[in-house]
Amino acid sequence: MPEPLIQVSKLVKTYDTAAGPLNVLRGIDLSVNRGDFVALVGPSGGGKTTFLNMIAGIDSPTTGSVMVDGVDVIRAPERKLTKWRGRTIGIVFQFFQLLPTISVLHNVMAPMDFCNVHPPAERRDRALALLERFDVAEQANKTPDMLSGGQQQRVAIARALANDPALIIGDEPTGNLDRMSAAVVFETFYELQEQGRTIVLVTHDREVVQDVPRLYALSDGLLEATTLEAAARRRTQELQALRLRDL
Amino acid sequence: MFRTRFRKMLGDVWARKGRTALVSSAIFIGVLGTIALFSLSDIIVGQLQEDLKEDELAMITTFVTVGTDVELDNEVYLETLRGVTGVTDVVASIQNSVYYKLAPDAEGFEEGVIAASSDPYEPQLAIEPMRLLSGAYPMPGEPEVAIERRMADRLGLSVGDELYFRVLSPSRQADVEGEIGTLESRTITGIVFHPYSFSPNTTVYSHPDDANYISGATGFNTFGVRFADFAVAEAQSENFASTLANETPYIPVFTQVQDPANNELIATAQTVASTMAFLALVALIVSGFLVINVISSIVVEQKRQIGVMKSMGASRFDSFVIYAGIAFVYGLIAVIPGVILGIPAGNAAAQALAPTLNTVLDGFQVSPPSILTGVLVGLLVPVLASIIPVYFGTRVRILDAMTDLGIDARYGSGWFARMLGALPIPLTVRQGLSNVSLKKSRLAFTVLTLSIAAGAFMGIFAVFSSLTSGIRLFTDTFNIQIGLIPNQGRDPQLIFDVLEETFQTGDNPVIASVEPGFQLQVEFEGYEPPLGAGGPPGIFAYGYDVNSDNPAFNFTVTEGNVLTEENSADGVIFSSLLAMNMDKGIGDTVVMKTAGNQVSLTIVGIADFPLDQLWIDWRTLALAAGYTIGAPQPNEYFSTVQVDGFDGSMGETVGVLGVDPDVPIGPLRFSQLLDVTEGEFFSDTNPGIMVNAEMAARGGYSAGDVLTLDATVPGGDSTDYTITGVFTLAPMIPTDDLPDEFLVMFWRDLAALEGVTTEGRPLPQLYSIITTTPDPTAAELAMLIDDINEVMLDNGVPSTFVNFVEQINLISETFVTIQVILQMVAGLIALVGALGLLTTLSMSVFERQKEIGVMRSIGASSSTVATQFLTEGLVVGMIAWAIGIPLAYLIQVGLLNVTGFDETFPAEFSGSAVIIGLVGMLIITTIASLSPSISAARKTVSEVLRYQ
Repeated sequence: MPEPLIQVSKLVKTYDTAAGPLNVLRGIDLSVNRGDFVALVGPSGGGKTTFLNMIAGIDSPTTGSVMVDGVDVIRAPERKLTKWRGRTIGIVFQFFQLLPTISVLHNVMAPMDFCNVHPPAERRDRALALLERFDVAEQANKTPDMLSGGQQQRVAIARALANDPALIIGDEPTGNLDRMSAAVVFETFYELQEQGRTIVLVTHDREVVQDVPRLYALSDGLLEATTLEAAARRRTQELQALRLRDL
Repeated sequence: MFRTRFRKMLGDVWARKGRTALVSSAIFIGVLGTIALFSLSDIIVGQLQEDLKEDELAMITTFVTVGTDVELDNEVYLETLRGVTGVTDVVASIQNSVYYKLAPDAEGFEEGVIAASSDPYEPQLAIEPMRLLSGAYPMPGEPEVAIERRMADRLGLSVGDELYFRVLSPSRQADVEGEIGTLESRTITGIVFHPYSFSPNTTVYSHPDDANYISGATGFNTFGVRFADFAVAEAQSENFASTLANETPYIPVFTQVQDPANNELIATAQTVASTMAFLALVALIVSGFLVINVISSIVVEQKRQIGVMKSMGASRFDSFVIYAGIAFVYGLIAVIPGVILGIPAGNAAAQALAPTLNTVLDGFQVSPPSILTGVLVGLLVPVLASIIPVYFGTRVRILDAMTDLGIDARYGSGWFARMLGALPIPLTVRQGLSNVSLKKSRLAFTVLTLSIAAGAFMGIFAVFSSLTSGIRLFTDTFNIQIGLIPNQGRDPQLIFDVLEETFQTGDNPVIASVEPGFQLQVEFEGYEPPLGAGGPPGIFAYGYDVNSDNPAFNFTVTEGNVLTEENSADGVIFSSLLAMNMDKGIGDTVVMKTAGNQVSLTIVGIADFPLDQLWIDWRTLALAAGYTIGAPQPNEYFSTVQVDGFDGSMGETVGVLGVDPDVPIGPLRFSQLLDVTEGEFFSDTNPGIMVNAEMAARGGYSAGDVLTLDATVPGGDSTDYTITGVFTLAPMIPTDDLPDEFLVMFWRDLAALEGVTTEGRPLPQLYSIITTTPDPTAAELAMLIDDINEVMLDNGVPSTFVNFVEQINLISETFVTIQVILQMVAGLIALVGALGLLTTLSMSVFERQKEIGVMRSIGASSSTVATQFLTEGLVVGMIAWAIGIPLAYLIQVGLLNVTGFDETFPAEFSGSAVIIGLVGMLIITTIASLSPSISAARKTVSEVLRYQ
C-alpha cells in the first residue's frame, strides 16, 4: 500500500495566554492518501486554520509530527522547506491574496519563477493555459483589482496549480464568494481531485461540502470523522449546553 | 524577459507613483547637489591650479607708500633688495586708480586701474606674470597700453582700439603743458590674461613712467619677492622689510607672507566648494533616511504579500531583491534627471563663482568624476538605506504575515504607559504619545533627520548672529563714511582747505568733518599674532586725531585712560584681545615695530574689542612709519617767528631762515653769502642768531642782545636767543620775496623752536570724512565721492576713495548670502525629515486603520481621529528640537572652526536661535502631520471594517 501523502501523528498545539494555557489541538491523528478530498468543518476558533498551517509547514506544533510527501515539515530547515512548499503544496487563501501590482497572468507565473519550475520559455503559455482552464484567460493582462471575487479566487486556484503541486490546501476558499461562485470553485476542486490531486480544505459552507468524500469535524481540539448531519447535531447540542450554562 | 521579482518591483514602483515621486525627489535633490557642487569644486579648483602656478607666485608682497618730493632711484633700490639673503627675484609694480573714456566726447569717466612693472613684460614677468593672448605688449615711451581680457570682454574692446585717459600729472603736451586733468589717448596694442590680477575687469597695462604720469603718482606701490624657498622667505621677511624701509624711501604699509604651495585663493575655493559639496552629500545621506522610512512602510504594508510569496516558494533573497530593488529604482529615477540637470548646474555654479575667485572659465565645463560620484551615491545610498528595513521586514514568518490578529491589543505596560495613564490628558493625546513610544525604533531615523535639520538651522543661525554682531562691532568702531586716500603724500593743509572751501561752508555744507588718519600693519616684539579670518591679518594700528571732537574711531576704554594730547606722543590703547594675548596691562611698555623702525609705547588704556588691534594718535604712527612732509632742509628752511617787543613792518613777526653755515649752496657756503657788519656768525662755540640790518635798525638791536623768539606754528615753543651778529645779504641774492626784517639761525634750532623734527611733519595717510547726512546710503556717498574726486583732481591731488557704507553693505550681503545658502541646506534636510515623518505617520495610519474604524464606529469624530496623529507628529518634532539644541552647539563650533572665526567669535548658546528652531520645528511637523491626519480622519467605518 502506498505511503499516505499526509501523515499527522499526535499533533498538539498549546498557546500560553494570560488566562492560562489554551489547547487548540489536543492530539490529532490523520492520514490523507494521494487523491483524497478532505474537508474540515467546525466552530470558529476550533483550530482548523492552525491544523492547516501545520500541514503546510507554516506553523509548528507543541508536540507531534507532520509528514507530507515524505518530508518532516516540522523539523525541515526553513530554506529547504520554502522551495519544497512552493513545488509541493498549492495554497488557496480565503482573501485570494493575489499580488496587486502585477497582472493576473504574472501572478500565475510567480510560483514558477520563484521555484524555477518549468523552463522560462514555457511559463507564460502554461500560465495562460491554467487561466483558460478556469475561464479567466480574458483577464490575463488585468490587475487583480479589476476582477470580481469569484474571478480572483479562480486565479488564485490557477496560481496554486502553477507548479503542479501534489497537494492543494484551501482555508475557507469560498468564504468571500457568492453562492454561484462558491459552487463553481468547489466544482473545480472536485475536478482536480479526479485528476489525482489531493485536496484538504477548511470550510463553513455546508452546501458545497455535502459531496466531499472525507469530512472531519474539528472541535475542542479533537478531530473526528463525521457526516454533515452528525456535525450539525453535535453543534446544536453544544449551543444548547452553552445556553443552559448561562441560565 | 523580466521575472516576477522585477515585475513586482516595477509594479510596486508604478502603483504608488506619488510615493515614488516623493522619495525619488529627495534623492534627486541630493544627486543634483552632489554633482553640481562636486563639479563646482573640481572645475574651479582645477582652473585655479592651472592659473596660479606655484613657481610664479610671490612669497612676500609688500604694499608701500612714498613721501612727496622724493627723488627715486628705483634701479638702485631693486638691486639692493635683490641682495637680501635668499632673494631670487624682486618685482616692483604699480597699481593706481585711473579715469578713462572709450571716446573723447563720452560723458563721464570710468574708473579703472593702471598697472606697470619694474620688469619688462617679455618674455614674461618673473613674478605673477600675465599671458599675452593677442597683439603685443606696449612699448616703453609709446602711447600704448594692453588690457586684461575680462576688461576687453566687458567693454567690447580689441587690439587697435583707443582709450582716453584723464592725465592726473602736469601735462607734457606742448599745447597744454603743465595742465592737470587733460585728456590723452592710448592705443590698445595687446590683450592679456592675468590670473594674478584682482581687478581684471578694469585693468590696463603700461610702463612705470606712463602709468605714474597718467595716475599722478610717484614710484611703485607694491614689491613682490621670491626666495629660494618659503622657509627662507619666512626667515628673511623681517630682514627684507627692514632693508626696504631703511635703504629706500619706500614705507611699507602692509606685508603679506604667503606660501605658494598653499595659495589662499585656491585654499578658499577648496574650502567653499568642499563645504558645499559636503552639505550636498549630507542632504543625499539624509534622503537615505527617507528611503529607510519608505521601504519600512512598504514592507509593513506588504507583510501579507511577503507571506504569500513565501508560501509560493519565494526565498528571503527573492524578497530582498524585490524590496531593495524598489529602493534601487527610486535611486535610478532620481539619478537620471539628477545627472541631466547636475551637469549644467555644475557648469553654471562654476561660471558664477569664477569671477569671485578671480578666474575665468572658457566654454562649458564638465567634471566626469563628479558625475560618476553623483551616480554612484545616488544609486548606492537608497540601496544601502534599504538593507536594514528589508532584512528585518522579510524575516516575517508566513504565519505572522498571514495571521490577522485584529486590532493590535498590545499596549505599553512599562513605566511610561503607566505615567501616561495617570496624566489628565485627553484620550487622543494619550494615544498619540503612546504610539510614539511604541514605534520609537521606526521613528528613530525621522527623529534623527529632524534633529540634524533643527541643529543645523539653529547652529547656522547662531553662528551668523555672532558673525553679524561681530562684524557690526568691528564696523561700528569706524566713525567714517568716506575714506580719502591721496595717491601720494600731499600737504594736509591743502586738502583741508579745499574740502572746507568746497564742501563745508555755505548754506548747505555736505561734509561735517574731515579727520586725518593713518593705518598700518605693525608688529610687537615677542608676539606672533595668529592669522585668523576675523579682521585683517596680523595687527593693525589705527591712527586718529586724539584732539578731535569727532574722532574717526568709536571705542570705549574699559580700563585706564583715553588718549589725550598729554599722553599721545608715546601712548597707545590696546584692544582687550591684544592685551590678553600679549599679557600686557595698563602702564606696560611695548616695542612696536613698523618696517625698519621701532618705537617704545606705553599702554594707557584698554578697550573691549575681539580683534588684535590698537588705537594711537595718527601723528605718532606716521612718525614711527617715517611718513612725513616738510622735513626742513638747511638753507631752504623759511618760516616766521614772533619777537617779543619788536614792532616791525609785520608787527612782532619777522622772517627766519634756518641755515647750516657749512652746507654749500652751489660752489659757496651760506656764510659766504652774508656780509657780517657787526659781531660774527653763530657757531657751536658761539650759539645764537643773526639779524639783518633792517631788523637791527628797527629794533635797536646789536650783537649781544637777547631776543625772545616765539614760534608761529602750532606746537612750537618760545626761547631766548643771543644776537651774535648783524648782517646784510650779498648783492647777488634776490630780496624781492624776502620780508624787510628777518633773521637767520641754525636750522636745527629753528626746527626745535617750531617743534618740528628734522625728519619733517607727520603726514596723514588718509582722511576720514563724515557727511552732514545722517545715515547716508551707499549711492548718496558715491555721488559725493564723485564730486570730491573732481575737486581733488582739479587741485592736483589724485586720490582713491573708500565708500564705507558700500563696503559694509558688501560684507553684510556676503554674510547674508552665505547664511541663506547654508540655511537652505538646513531647510532641505528639514524637508527630507518632514517627508520621513509624513511617511512614518502614513504607515501608522495604515497599520491602525482597524483601530480608526472601531473608534469611528463608537462615535469618534474626524477631529478626534486627526488629533491623535497630529499629536504624534508634534511629539516627534519636539523630541527632534530638543536633541537639536546640543547638536546646534556642535555645529556652531564646527562652522566657526572651519571658517577660522573661532578665535574671534567663540561659540556661545543663543536663546533666539533656540526659539526660532522651536517655531520652525512646530511648523514643519504640523505640516508633515496634516496629510496623514486628514487621511485618517477621512476613513469611514465601512471602508475599514468591511472585511474584518
